[in-house]
Amino acid sequence: MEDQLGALTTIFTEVYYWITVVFMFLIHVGFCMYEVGASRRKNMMHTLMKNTMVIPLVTITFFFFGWYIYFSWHNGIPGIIGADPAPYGLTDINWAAPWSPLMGSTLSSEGDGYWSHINGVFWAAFLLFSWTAASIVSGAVIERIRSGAFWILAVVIGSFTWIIDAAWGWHPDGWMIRELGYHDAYASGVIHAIAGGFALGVLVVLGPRIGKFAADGTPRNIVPHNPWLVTVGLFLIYTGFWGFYVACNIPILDVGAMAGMEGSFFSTTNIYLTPTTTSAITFNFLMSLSGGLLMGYLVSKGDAFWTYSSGLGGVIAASAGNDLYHPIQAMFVAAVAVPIFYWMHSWVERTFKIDDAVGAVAVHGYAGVIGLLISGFMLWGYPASMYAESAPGVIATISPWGQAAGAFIMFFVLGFAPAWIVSKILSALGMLRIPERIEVAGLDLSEFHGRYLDEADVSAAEEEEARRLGLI
Amino acid sequence: MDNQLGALTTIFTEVYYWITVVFMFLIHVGFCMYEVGASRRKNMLHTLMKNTMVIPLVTVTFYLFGWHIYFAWPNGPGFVGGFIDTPHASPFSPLMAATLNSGGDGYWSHINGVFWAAFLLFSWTAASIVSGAVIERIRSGAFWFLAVVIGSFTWIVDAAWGWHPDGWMVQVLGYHDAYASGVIHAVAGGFALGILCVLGPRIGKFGADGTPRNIVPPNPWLVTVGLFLIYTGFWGFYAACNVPIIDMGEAAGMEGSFWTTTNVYLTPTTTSAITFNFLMSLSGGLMMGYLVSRGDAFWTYSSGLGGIIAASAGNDLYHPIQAMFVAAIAVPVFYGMHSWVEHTFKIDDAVGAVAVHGYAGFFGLVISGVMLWGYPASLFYDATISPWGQFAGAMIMFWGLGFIPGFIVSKLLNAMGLLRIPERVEIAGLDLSEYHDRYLGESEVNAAEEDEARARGLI
Amino acid sequence: MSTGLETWNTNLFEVVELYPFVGSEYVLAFCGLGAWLIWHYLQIRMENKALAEEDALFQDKAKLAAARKLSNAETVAETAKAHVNGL
Repeated sequence: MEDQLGALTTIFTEVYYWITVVFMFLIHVGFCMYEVGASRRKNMMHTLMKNTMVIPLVTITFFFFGWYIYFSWHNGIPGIIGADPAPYGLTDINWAAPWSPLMGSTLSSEGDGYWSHINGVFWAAFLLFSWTAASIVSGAVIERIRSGAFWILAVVIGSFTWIIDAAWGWHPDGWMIRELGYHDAYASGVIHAIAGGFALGVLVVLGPRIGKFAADGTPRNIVPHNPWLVTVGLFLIYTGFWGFYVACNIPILDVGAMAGMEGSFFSTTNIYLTPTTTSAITFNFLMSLSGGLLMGYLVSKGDAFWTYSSGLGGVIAASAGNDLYHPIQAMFVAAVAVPIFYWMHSWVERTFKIDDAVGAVAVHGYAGVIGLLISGFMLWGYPASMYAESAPGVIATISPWGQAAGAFIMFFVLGFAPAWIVSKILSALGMLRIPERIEVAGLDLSEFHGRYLDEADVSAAEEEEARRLGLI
Repeated sequence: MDNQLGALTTIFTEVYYWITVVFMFLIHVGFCMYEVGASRRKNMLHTLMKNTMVIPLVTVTFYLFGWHIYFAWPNGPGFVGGFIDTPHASPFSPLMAATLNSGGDGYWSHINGVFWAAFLLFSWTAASIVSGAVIERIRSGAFWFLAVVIGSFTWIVDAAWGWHPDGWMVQVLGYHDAYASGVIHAVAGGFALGILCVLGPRIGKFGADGTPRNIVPPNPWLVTVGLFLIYTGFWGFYAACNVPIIDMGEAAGMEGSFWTTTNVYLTPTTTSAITFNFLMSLSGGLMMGYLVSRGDAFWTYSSGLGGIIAASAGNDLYHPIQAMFVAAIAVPVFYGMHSWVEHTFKIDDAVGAVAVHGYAGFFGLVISGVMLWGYPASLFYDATISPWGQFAGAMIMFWGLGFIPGFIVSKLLNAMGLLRIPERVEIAGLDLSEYHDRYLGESEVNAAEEDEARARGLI
Repeated sequence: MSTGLETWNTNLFEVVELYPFVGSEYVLAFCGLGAWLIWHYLQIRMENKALAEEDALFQDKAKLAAARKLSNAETVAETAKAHVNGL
C-alpha cells in the first residue's frame, strides 16, 4: 500500500477485526465453563470435550466451504433457487474459495492489498460466529447425545446452514434484504433464532435424559452440579459478546458514493453497509443487557441461572435493531422479551416433553424470533439497505411481515428442518444417542474409573516410599 | 509530533502493543488455573504462588538488564561483532521512563514502554512454561532464581541472536522463527528438561520396576480451561511479534513508499495471514490430539497448543492448510517423545511442558527449514532459510541456551541444598502449614458464631 | 527451494502469494477435505468400539449398579470401595 492514510485505514480495520476475534474466544471459554457446570459430575468431561471439538471441526470446514458459501449463495441456492450470484460467477469468488490465493498469506492482491489484509481477519470473525452457532446447540443436548453425532450436526449448522442464512439475510446483496427488507444487525435471527430452531429439531428426535420426566409427564429439575460456574461462564459469554457486536460492523468506510453524495462520507456501518456508530451499539448493548437482567430477576424470583440467561436473552432480543434503537427502547425490548421466552420454555417443556438442558432454545431461539418480530414494528419503514436510495423500488424497506418471514426462515427452514432431518438419519443409523446403560452409568465412567484408581495407586506408592525411607 | 498522520500512525502502533499486553495477561491467568488444576490438593497454593512470583521478579530484572541485552547482544557479542550501543534500552536511559520528544519525532517515546512490555510478557511465558514441569517438589526460592535466568537472561540472549533483525543467527544461518517456536518454546522446553534431570521425579512417580504412575490432576477441568485461556492470550503473543504498520519501501530499495505489516524481522506479512494460520494450526493440533490420545481432555488441549507452537516458526508465510498439516504431524511426534523420555530416562515432567513446548518447538523449526527452504530470511542480509540453518538454530535454542544453563544452575542450587523440598515435607504436602492454620481458623470462627447465636438466644 | 521469491529487495507491489508451493492450492484443499472426512470416520469407529465394550460390560446388572456408585462417588475411598464391590 503506497498511501499512508489508506494503509493506516486498512490496517486499523484489520486490527479491529483481529481484536474482535480474541474477545470472542472468551465466549467459548465461557461456553466450556457453562456446560461443564450445568452437567452432572458423572458427565462433566464428556460434556467438555463435546463442546471443545466443535472448534477445530467448524474451523477447517468453514475454511473449506463456509466462507465460499457466504459470498456465492446470496441469490438463494445456486442452480436450484434464484439466479447465479451476480456480479461473480460461481467459480469466480476470488477470495473465498479454498484454493484462492487470498485464502493464504498474500501481499499486494488487486493492487492495493486491501483484501490481503482483510480476508483472514474477516473470515475469522465470521468463523467465531460459526463456533457460537454450534455451541448454542451443544448446551441443549448434553448428557445423552453421542459426541460423534453432535460433531456432524455442529458442522451442518456451523459451516453450512447458518452461513447460508448469512448469505441470504446478512450479505448486503442477500435476497432477503432485497425482497423482504430483512434487517438483523447483530444476529437475533441469523445466529440465535437459527441455532435455537436447530437445537429444537435435534431435541425432538433425541428425546429427554433418562429421569427427566416423571411417569405422569411432570418435568423434574436436573440441577447443575456447579451453579456458580454456570453463571461465571455466562458472564464470560457477555464479555465475549462485545466482540461479537463490533465484529458485525465495519469500523470505517466511505459510504459517500453509495449514498449518491458528491464527496466522501466516512462512517462506521453495520453489516448491511448502512451507517451506525460503535457508541450507539455500546449504549444499546448495556441497556438491553440491563433490561434483560432486571426482568429476569423478577420473573425467575432471583434465580441465578435464569437471571443471567435473561440478560443474554435480552441482548439477543434487542440485537436485530440495536444499530438503530434508542437505548431506552433497547432496554424495554429486552425486558418485554424475557417473560415471553421464559414462559415459552416451560410451556414447551411440559407440553411436548422437550428436555432442553440449558434453555438454549428459549434464550437463543425464542428470544431471537421475538426480537425480529418486534424490530419489524419498531423500525417499520426504514430503508433496509444503502442501495434503497440509489435504486428506489429495488430494495425493500423494513416491515413487520418481512421480519416475520425472515424469522420463519431462520427458525424453521434453516434451523429446525435440517436439524430434524439430519438427526433422524443419524438416529436411524443408531449413531445419535448414547446407549441407555452407559447414560445411566455416567459418560465419564471409563475416565473417572482410571483416574480414581490412579489416585489411590499414587497415594499408596508415596506412603510405601515414605516407609522405605524411614520417614514414617 | 507535528504531523497528524505520523502521530496517528505512531499512536496506533503504541496502542496496538498495549492491547497485546492486556491479552497476554490472560496467558498468565490461564497458567495459574492450569498449574493449580494439575497439582494435588495438598500442593495447590504452593504451586499457585510459585508461578505468581515469576511476574514481579522477571518484570524488575527485565527492566534492569533484559531489555538492554536484546539491543546490545545481536552480534553475540563476539560472533559477528561487539556490543551495540543501546540509547533507549539501558536502565539509565531517559527513554526507560516518561519522555516526550525523543529523537525529534517522539517515536521511541511512544513505543519503548509498550514494546518492552510486549517482550516482558514473552519473558513471563518462558518462565511459566518451566514452572509447570517442576511442580510439587521444587523449592520456590530455587525456581524463582531459575525463572530470572531464563526470563531475563537466556531467552533474551536468544532473541538478540535469532529474533532481532540484525541478530547473528539471522545474518549467518538464515534463522527464521516468526512466532517463537524456538526463541520461546524450544528454549523453555530445553531449560525445563535441564532442571528435571537434576531435580528428579516426585516421590511415588515411578514404581520399583521403573513404570511411571499417572499422578492425576485433581481438577482436570480447571487444567483445560486454563489451557483455553492460554490459547486466548496466545493471540496477543502472535500479534505482539509483528510490527503493525511500517514503510519498508526504502529498505526494499523501492522508489516510493510501501506500507505493510511485518514480522519481527521486518519482512512483510499481514495480520490476516497469521489469523488464518493460528486458527488452522490450532485445529490441526486439536484434531490429531484427539485421535492420538483417544479423546483425553488434557492431551487434546495440550496438542492444540503444541500444534500452534510447531507451526509458529513459519506461520507468517505458510498457507493455512500447510499450517494445519504441520501442526497435525507434530502431535504424534511430541506425544511419542514424551512417553519415551518418561519411560527411558525416568523424567517426571508433570504437565508435559518439555513435549508441548520443547519438542514441538524443535520439530517446528526443523520442518519450517524444509517448507520455507530458499526464502530470504531478511531485508538486510543475504542468508536464506534452509533446513540446516533451522536445525542449527533449534540445537542452539533447545540445548545451547535451554538445557545447558538449566542443568548447570540447577546443579549449583542442588549443591547448595537449595533446589528441592525436604522429602518429609513433600510427602506431608507443601500447603500443610497454610491449610493447618486455615482449618483451625475456620473451626474457631464457626464455634464463635455458634456461641454468639446462643448468647442471643437464637438457637 | 519452495518459492520463487528470492529477495525482499524488490518491487513489493508485484508480490502476491507469500506462501510456499504456489500452484498446489487445489491439492491442498482436497487433501484437507479428505483429512476432515477421515477424522469423522476414525472418531466414530473409536466411539462405536468404546461404547460397545462398556455396554456389554453393563449387561451385568450388578456391574451397572457398581458403576453408578463409582460415577457418583465423591472421594477416593468411596471409589475404591465401589471398585472392590463389583467392577
